[in-house]
Amino acid sequence: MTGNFIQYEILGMAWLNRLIGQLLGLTGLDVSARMGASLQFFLFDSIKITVLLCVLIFVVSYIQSYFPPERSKKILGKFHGFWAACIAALLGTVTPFCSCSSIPLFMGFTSAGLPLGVTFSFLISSPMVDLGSLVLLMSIFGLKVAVAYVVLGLVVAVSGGMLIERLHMERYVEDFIKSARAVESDSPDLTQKERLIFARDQVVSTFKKVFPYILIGVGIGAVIHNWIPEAWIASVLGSRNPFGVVLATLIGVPMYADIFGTIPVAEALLTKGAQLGTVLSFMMAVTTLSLPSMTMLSKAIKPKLLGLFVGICTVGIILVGYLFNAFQYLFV
Amino acid sequence: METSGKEEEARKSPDVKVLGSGCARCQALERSAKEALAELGMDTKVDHVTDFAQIASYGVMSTPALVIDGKVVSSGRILSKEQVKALLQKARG
Repeated sequence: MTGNFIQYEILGMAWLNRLIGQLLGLTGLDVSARMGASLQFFLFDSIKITVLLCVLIFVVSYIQSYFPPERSKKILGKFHGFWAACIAALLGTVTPFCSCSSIPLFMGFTSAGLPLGVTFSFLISSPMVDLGSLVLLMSIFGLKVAVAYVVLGLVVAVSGGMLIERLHMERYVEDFIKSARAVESDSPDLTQKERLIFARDQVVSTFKKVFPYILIGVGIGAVIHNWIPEAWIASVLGSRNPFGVVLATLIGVPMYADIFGTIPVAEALLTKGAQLGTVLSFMMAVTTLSLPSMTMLSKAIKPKLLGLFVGICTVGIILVGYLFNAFQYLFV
Repeated sequence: METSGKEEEARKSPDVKVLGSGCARCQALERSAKEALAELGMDTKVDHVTDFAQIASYGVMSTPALVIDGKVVSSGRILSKEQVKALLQKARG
């Protein structure tokens, strides 16, 4: 009971949907008709995601302020082999990360003597899984799906890193990365006030950055939700198409969007008969790999390693999708 | 007394660098730094370092970072003009 209440009314904000429906009804709009229902979806989802975004980024940034990459580097130096890859994947979820920082981070890790596989476990998990996406997924797909998504994301990150380690790809890293000197840098200790200011600043800058994506995502979601025939989506992304996962992943890979912009699309696809695993693959592909991040990484690693990185992520995401589809009955 | 003259000179114009890949966040920090310097009446150019080897040599792992007189004072954050001003005054104080 309480679990459902938290899931639907607090995280899912079902009360807000009812309120918007009633308000739209007062203006004389029929929310059971297409136009009205699209408008209701658009208003409800934009507000819900914006509220979740602000609250989540604030909380997550506050936690992240305890894990600057300099600290992650030090922590990782204490672990070896498999455990180092696991810890790297876990730290990837709490370390603040933006694709424009991937090269300095790469150099910092390498110069500290961390193995290549550990760095890659981090580089895969960091954009794919973060604390924010956990809560966001929970609000839309429920706790079980969210936890499974995070666990499988971590599995992809750890196994991807281990594979890169096994294949001895060190020679495909550009020299300037390998020759970076180790520099001890202590991140200054922050006061509580500074952490709160940091969290607030992150909310403002993230909001400015992703708000257009949210509107686009919710717009696409509203169109899918009310205008595209269910039969189409079900036949392309539903259980009748065995290649739905592959298709969704390949479409998602070059796309560049935040998880906040992807969620409304995923949500709408799911209600229209797409399979859960297919939708999750799409989301993972969009958030993990994108053209800007690949362009950035291509400056640091040679095409062969970049290809391997993209290949591992793509295959991993596809496997996760099929796994979810196979066990969908456990989650819905 | 030449050295103290030089010190006096250095006091007036801090060495300010923004380390970053030229991404939007880095440019935002550069703008704040320029505005802060202008408001403090400091006649310094902000040096935007985009060379990754140089960035790494500061031990910075998340960009954008702000360097004042060779010391990293902030990394991975976009600072506001007021925050940069506070850091400049602290470094100069």
